[in-house]
Amino acid sequence: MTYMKKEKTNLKFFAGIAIFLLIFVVVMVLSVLQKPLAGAGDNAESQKIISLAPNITEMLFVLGVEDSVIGRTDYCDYPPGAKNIESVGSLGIANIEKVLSLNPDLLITPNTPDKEVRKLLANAGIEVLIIQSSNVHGMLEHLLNIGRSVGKAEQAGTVVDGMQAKLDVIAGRYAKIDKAKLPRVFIEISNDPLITVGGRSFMSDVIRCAGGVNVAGEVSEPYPCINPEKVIEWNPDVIIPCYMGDKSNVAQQMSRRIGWGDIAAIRNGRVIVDFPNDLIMRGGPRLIEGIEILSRYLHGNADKEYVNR
Amino acid sequence: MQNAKPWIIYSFLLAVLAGACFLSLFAGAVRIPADEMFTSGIIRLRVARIILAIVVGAGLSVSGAVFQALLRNPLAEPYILGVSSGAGLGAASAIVLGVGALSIWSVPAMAFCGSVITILIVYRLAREPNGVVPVYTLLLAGVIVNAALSSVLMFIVSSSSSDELHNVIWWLLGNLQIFDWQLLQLVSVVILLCLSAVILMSHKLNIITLGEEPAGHLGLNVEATKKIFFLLASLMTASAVAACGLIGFVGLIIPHCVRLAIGPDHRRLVLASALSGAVFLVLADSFARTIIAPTEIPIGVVTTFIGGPFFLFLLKRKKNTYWC
Repeated sequence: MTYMKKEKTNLKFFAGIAIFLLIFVVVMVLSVLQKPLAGAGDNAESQKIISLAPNITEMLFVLGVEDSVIGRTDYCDYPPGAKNIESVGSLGIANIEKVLSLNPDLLITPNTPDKEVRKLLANAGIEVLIIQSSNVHGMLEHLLNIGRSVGKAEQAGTVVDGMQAKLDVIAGRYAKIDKAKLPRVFIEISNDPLITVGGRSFMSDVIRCAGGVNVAGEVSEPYPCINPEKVIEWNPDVIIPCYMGDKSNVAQQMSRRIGWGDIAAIRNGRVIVDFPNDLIMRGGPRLIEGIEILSRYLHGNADKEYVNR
Repeated sequence: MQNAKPWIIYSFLLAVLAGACFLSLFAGAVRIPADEMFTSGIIRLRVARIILAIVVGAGLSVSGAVFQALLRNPLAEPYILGVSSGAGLGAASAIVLGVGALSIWSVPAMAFCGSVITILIVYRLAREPNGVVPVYTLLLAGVIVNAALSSVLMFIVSSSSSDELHNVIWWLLGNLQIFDWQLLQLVSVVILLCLSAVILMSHKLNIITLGEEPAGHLGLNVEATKKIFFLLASLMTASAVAACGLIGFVGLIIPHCVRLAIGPDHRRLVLASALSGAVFLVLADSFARTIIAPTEIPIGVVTTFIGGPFFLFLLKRKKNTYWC
């Protein structure tokens, strides 16, 4: 008796789920059908480019080929004009159908695509440029590569020369400081659990360029989950929390963490909560600006003349 | 050990726990100089972490033992009724919405709310109009809600940016990092209260494992008892998950191991499971934070990697007397 009853309840439950799934599928199909096939009938003569990372999009804008960019990712939000471009997916994970339907000439991506995808892109006549680097110098090289691929080699050369010159100026400011006396920086990527940037990460090189030392430089993984007691031992001079959302009371929170009260950065109020993270986390044209700001945080406003220029 | 006096078992386990804590106090990413042993912030952090490991290990093991008895299913574990995906969904929402940085409490609080809501949904789904909650319906409802919420969680994870995704996944893998004494106190108090209640009522678990009808004939108010145990076990799991994410396998194998060692009498099993779970998690955490220090590996990896083979070993040795 009881067994039969149970069966009935379950049946009802499953029927409910089935109906739910059916509605779900119908909605999905309808939403797909409603979207017009983009890119069809586009006969512009210029090169058509799809960028699969925010820093790549920024580089393309700096090179002045923004009108050729026909696809971007959900995260390409700078310069504001980038938002008018159609999105083809999330960071590094593009919708391949969407990419093909836009019929681009050049796809610039931070990730190496799978073999199958590469074949597919090659068959469609789409050139693939992979922009991947774990240091600042590599990013400048890549900017030159992009310049060559989009026919703006000269312009890219000028931009990179300018960036390199600024980097040299920043480096000159702390060149005389003893290496052991450079400010030691801890970057907090996540607070639960604690994640930082290791020695082989892009951010670690950014810190170096700004005249700081990444305390986690000895760790080889790029984004390690780190033991909080190690941070107490490292005793960083500066802490930069790099997560999204409201960080207004992060400094106060850190000072309340068990055992963290003695860390130099927290004792001296050098937890930087208002840092424009995008500038240093994205290896784009604004990177030097980010390094400049970071350098000012690390070394004070010694060189105001440069800053105002 | 089946016939050993309870106090011998308990004092043995307590001694092992004390040893494990002592060991764990000296294991870490950082070597502490002897003269700073009692003043350094690092030691405070380590002590907090050991306390959390004890409390969570005990809570998850006892919760597992209760669910195994309640559902009369050897595969039952604390997360079987969807607590895990509910908590995961809560935590992921907190991280993706960006409130994770707002306060040290936001992620744990959201995870706790997520799991409590899930438990209530599962319970409502399984309850029949006359107030009876059939065990198999409960199990099915739990598994299905678990699957449904997991898909929502996966949706959130897949549609978030890469660094958020990274954080959510790390959270889901579980870790015993603790930064706040108050959070630790709250979690400890909730788990220890529930644990004491389960210990006081542990004889009723014996009756329930006989089957619901025999238990009713023996004069037990089956539905009320089930409800209380369900609530206690779920609360313990939710608190544990809120504080340290998902730590798999502890709640599944510790009760089984203890059962294999001292027999299925819940009057001893519950407290022995609590102590063994604490020992296991303290040791597993020492391992997780020292093996490639200063990097930590997810503690779930350690619990499964050590626990799995050990459990198989026990199972193989005692195959004939094992209950199901």
